[in-house]
Amino acid sequence: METPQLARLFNTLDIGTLLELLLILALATLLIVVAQKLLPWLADQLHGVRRLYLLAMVPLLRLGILVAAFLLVVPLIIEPSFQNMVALLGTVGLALGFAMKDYASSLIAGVVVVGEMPYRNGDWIEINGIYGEVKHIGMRTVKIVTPDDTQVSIPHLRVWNDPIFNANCGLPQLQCVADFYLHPAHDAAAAKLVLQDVALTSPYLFFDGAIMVSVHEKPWATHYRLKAYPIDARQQFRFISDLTVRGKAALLRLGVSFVTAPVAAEISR
Amino acid sequence: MIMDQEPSAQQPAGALPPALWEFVRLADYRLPNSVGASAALEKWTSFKRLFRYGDEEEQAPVKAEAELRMLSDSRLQALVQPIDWHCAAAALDLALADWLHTSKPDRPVRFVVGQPHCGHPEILAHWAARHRLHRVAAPSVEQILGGDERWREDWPSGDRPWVLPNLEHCYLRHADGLGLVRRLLAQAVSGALGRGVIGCDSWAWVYLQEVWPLPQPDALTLQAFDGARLSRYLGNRVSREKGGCLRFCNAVTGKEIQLACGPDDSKVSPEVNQLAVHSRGNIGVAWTAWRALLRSLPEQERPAEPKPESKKHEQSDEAERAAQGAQADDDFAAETVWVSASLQEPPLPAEKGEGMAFILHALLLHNGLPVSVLPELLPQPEHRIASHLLQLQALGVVDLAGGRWQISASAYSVVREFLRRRGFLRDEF
Repeated sequence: METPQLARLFNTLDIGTLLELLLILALATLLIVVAQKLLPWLADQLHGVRRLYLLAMVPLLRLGILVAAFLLVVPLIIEPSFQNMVALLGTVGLALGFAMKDYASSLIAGVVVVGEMPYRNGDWIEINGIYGEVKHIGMRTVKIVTPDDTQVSIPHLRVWNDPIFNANCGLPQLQCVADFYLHPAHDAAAAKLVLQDVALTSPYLFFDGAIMVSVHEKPWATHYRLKAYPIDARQQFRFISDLTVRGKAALLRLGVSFVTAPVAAEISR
Repeated sequence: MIMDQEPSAQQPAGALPPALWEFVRLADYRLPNSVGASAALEKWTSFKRLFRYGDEEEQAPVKAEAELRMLSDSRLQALVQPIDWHCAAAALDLALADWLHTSKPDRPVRFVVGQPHCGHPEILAHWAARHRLHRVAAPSVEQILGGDERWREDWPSGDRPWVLPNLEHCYLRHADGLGLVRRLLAQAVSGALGRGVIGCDSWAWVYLQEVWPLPQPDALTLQAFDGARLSRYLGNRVSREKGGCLRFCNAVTGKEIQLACGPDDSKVSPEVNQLAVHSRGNIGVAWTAWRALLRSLPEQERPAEPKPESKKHEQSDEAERAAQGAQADDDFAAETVWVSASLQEPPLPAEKGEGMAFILHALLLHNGLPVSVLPELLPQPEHRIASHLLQLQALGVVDLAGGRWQISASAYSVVREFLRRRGFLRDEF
């Protein structure tokens, strides 16, 4: 009884159909591999927004190729009638829902990520306290590389519930902050001006972004936050280092002393 | 000096084509139009640069030009003489005439902004000499970093205007290097220093707008040498100085490159137009590129040194020397100079890291820097900077002139494009 139903569900796979299937799968794989290799290579030849646009196209292209391949393959394997589709999708859905819930959730989240773009290739994101550059958006996971050059794979399903911090959101620039903790007895206006000049004279500086110096008085120090944008997001740590090194030197020349350690009150807090 | 290049105050402006040398407001600077084939070629060249690696740079000329040779320095010197900035100074004189002769001008200080290799220090020096004005020298590096106000103790007093030709040498991109120029600009613009003209490099100008925004809508700059101007400039020099029969031919097509021979001549060949587009109207860059394009057949190349017997005569007889000069002109007049179709620009090193970009950018922002200053401005260690500089020098990208490293005229376009693609601050030309 079941054999004829299954026979009606699936088409007869002759040699020609199998070859066609293999050809479609091979072609789709080849196109995906080429897209994943060629576009990042091309992107590396470019800078700024163009680089990020190209990188962001990789998962979009891959999704497009997969959908096209799926649409081509399905009619070859099953008889595409309404009953057959309901039966097939129902079965697949049941299996995924029970046995591979998280896997399926990540896959669906992967499609959502490609559409909504909470992160793209080249973005600097933080998920669950892990910060790094998005290097690859796969079907199930996103691979990010941390500042310590460690690759971390995070399932896309995090987008359902966890906050995603995106520092540059598809743009080449992101804001960097260098912190300075100074002894409270000093000329704050002069210190602020010096720090602005420190940013203005950094070779990493992106001029279309604003330079800001915020001052916060703490019980144990005056906290300066020097905020500015580097030319390229990948320079952020070198930029912050440059601001810190030259900021310290400039402030010392100004005669300002740094706070060396928090006082006991701050530690207990 | 070519007289018809001098701007004429007597004739109405509408009756003549634009003067060859003309100073205009910054907003009126017009880039040469890249139209048709010129635009396509420029974009293609720019696209190829993306995937070009310095060490793999194709240096050989195209096949059709393989038998042609570069001209010797003496030939180049004779064919393409150095730019005479006196003409530009005359144009500046015309632009500043009203301001100079008004007893109480609206603005105590006028700014003249020049692109690299466009000779703004020379132009201002000639202009100052013409009016016997005091030229103010830039402060030393120590004075800039120390904010030493004693530099201004020798500032000229009285009603006579003064000229500061190099504002770009009055600051350093260093946390301690901006105070002096801020105070200078504040005092100069307010009129506390009397009347004066300040020359500034175009890259430094843009940077200083971030340091101390200058309310100077009427800052002047040399108008771009578009195809028509460039054709007139090159044509005038050949026609007036070499008898007018010297032919320039495209080395690939063999077609003659027509150069305009007078102010009313509007001939602009595609090659000259392409050169103007490539140089973005920068006459210094265009002049260097034109020199680099000229070729000759081996048999046309004259020996660099006169024959021994000629030398003997030359030493003994001035008249003989004059006769030789006349003969040389005849030789030039009878020959064809071939113009290469492909401009060989200095390649940037294959490893185009940010360290090299920082060096190039710093050199442009200051219009050249002494090597001892670069480690003060950049995050790289001194030995890395020295290594980069020597590498760039070997490729012809930078050269050392007057103790300052600067971007060479032949590499300026490549470097500008390189920095533009990477999002660096750049001039508005």
